[in-house]
Amino acid sequence: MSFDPAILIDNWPVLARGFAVTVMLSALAIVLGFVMAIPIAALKLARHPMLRLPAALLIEVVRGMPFLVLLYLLHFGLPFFGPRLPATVTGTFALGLFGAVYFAEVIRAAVLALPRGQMESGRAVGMTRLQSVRHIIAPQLVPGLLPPSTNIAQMLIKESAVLSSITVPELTYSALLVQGQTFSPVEVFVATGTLYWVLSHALATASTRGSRRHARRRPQGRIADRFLSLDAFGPRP
Amino acid sequence: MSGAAQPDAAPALEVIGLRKSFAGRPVVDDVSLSVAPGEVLGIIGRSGCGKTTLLRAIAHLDPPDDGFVRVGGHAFGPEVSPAGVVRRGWRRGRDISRERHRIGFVFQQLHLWPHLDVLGNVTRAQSVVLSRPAPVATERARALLARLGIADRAAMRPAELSGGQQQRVAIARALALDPPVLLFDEPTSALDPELTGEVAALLRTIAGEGRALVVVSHSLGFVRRLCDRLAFLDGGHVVEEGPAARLLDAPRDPRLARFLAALAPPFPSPQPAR
Amino acid sequence: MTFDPAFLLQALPRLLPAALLTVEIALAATLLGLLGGTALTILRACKWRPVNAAVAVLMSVVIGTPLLVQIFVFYYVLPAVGIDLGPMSAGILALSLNSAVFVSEMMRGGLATLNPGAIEAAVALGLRPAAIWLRVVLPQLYAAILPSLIGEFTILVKATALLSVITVVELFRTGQQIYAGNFRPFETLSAVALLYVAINASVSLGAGLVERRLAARRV
Ligand SMILES: Nc1ncnc2c1ncn2[C@@H]1O[C@H](COP(=O)(O)OP(=O)(O)OP(=O)(O)O)[C@@H](O)[C@H]1O
Ligand SMILES: [Mg+2]
Repeated sequence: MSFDPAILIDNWPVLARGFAVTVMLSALAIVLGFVMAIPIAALKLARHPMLRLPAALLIEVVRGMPFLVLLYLLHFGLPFFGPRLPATVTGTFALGLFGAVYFAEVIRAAVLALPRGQMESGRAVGMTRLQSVRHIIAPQLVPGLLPPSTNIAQMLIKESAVLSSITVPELTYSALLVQGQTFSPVEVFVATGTLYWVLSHALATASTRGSRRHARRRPQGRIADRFLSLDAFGPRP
Repeated sequence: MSGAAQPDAAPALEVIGLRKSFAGRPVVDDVSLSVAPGEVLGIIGRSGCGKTTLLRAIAHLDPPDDGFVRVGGHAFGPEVSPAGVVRRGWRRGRDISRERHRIGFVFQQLHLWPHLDVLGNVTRAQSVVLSRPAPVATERARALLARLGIADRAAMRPAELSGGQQQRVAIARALALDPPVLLFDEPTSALDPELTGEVAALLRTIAGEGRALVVVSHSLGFVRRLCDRLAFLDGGHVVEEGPAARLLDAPRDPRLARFLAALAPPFPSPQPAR
Repeated sequence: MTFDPAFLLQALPRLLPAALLTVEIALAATLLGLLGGTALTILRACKWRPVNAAVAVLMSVVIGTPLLVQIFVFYYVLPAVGIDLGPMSAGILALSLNSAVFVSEMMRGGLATLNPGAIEAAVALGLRPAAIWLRVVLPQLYAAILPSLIGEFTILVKATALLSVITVVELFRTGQQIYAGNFRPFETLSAVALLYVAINASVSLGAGLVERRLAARRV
């Protein structure tokens, strides 16, 4: 197996542009997804079943199909409702919607995990529902929300590769372009994989920094730990 | 215990014909009460007789189905009738949140805010609900914490405090809004028995400032030390009401007598039941 | 253009066999993934540093890169180094390797929930480590991660759609072939989506039923 760095040196502008597109549209989709997730989670938490139903349906349907299929459905379906949008816009929206149903479940779980009576104690001192959410509920959600949201953000970065199939000029699309011109899969995919790895690793590192103090260590030193723990050098980040 | 009660003054809290049912089953059924400033009213009754529900309906945490509540002579929430008519003193669509600071509520499980320190627990509602400037709210909070003997815990989180200290924080949180009426749901249930005397003394001084207190409790000793008057609740009704000592020592209603006999220790009782 | 459900219904007869193929691919990948995941877990449990390091690098790469890129690596890179498997085998292997890594992570989580007492008892009885793994740890571990494994299967059902990009004619690509003929992509893709949702919903429902049955028996 040979590795020819010249191929990467010649083609790095294409890959770099693709990487930049991946970074930007993933970031946009993560923010968009989280924002869209808030009303979905609120509906799913509603007391009235007729409010819960549409949210539950949306979550089940979007989670039940491959992201590729959701992307194509929106790609061919959105033009029913308006002008045909550029693939990058459709793709980012699809990725955001896909993330939103996962974020919504995370938010819902975090709300349900709150100690009981918190909303009520805000109301009892005279806060409105909105004030209670703002001052009492939301601040308590953040620590529980961070780790699972990081996982979802990482998932979205990786799923963004699928946007190559509708010609969004992101990293994987650029990689296929270079591969088609150079027929050097080894160099191209090693470089592409490295770039994705760096991106999702950077995100994970930033997030662990943010929530290090929530980490708990399991007690060590039992005989059984020889069988119940993995790896010689502790848990990976 | 007469304390600072002023039975002749206009009532601080009036509850008139209050009803609340869950799934068609009445839990609070036509309850009327009146508490004067400086007076402590105790509510006793078997588990499940509707004490918590009554307190929550008074504070409109669960809106009553019927009846109405007045604080200091002013309507607290809409005066509902079975026909749903909103009666005098309450503009339609007014937000009950704007009134709730007039009734302080201390939950049985306290429900302190774990993400804020003690000071934050006591100042947050002052700034959000009463729009008090931060220095004013902080000063008020520090004064209250000092009075309750937990001034040195101001920077700690609720989880780092003992049960008794947590309860003082909950009381300070409610007192910070200067409510003329305070409701306590079983304030001693989570405390060591030695602490109940202290809590009784504390609540007594709070009432001494001219506030009306309603206290739900299972502890007869606590109720005897603390309350001016008692209401015995059974099946959602006030079955018997009167001076605390009279109800405890000479119950008239057989249901109250049975309740006391079941709770009171058999021998040290001043008048053994036969 | 409007939505015409007739085209959705017309597509179903051709899509159903493709859906069956999709389930078969996912099943194969799940089983291979379980096998590979067990192997990775046992390698990790040996706590031999060089092996641990190699496994850690592999897992980090698989977790940190898109599955689509992994599929391209199996499809383009392996032939370039002299291993030509064809799209179907390359695709299934890519899914299996990906799954193996996540199964091993599941197993790490599952191990933490096992009762140490049972293992200490086995050690006290003098069982060899290999026997403890085979007879005591793995059976409990598989039982512990069964719900996650079913989740892994539904993830793989969805992941099979990615094999369409390396010319495997599974459910999604069959849909593409249909709308290339009838020019009704939205209706056809709705039928495709419906089938994916139906497969995953029935797996979750079935798993729920079995789980309740098992829970009832345990009581
Ligand atoms: N939200 C609710 N929905 C339905 N039923 C309720 C609800 N809250 C209370 N109840 C019912 O109302 C009755 C009275 O409950 P409540 O909590 O007021 O009793 P309590 O007198 O405070 O009892 P305890 O001394 O055990 O605290 C109980 O039978 C309870 O099941
Ligand atoms: Mg109660």
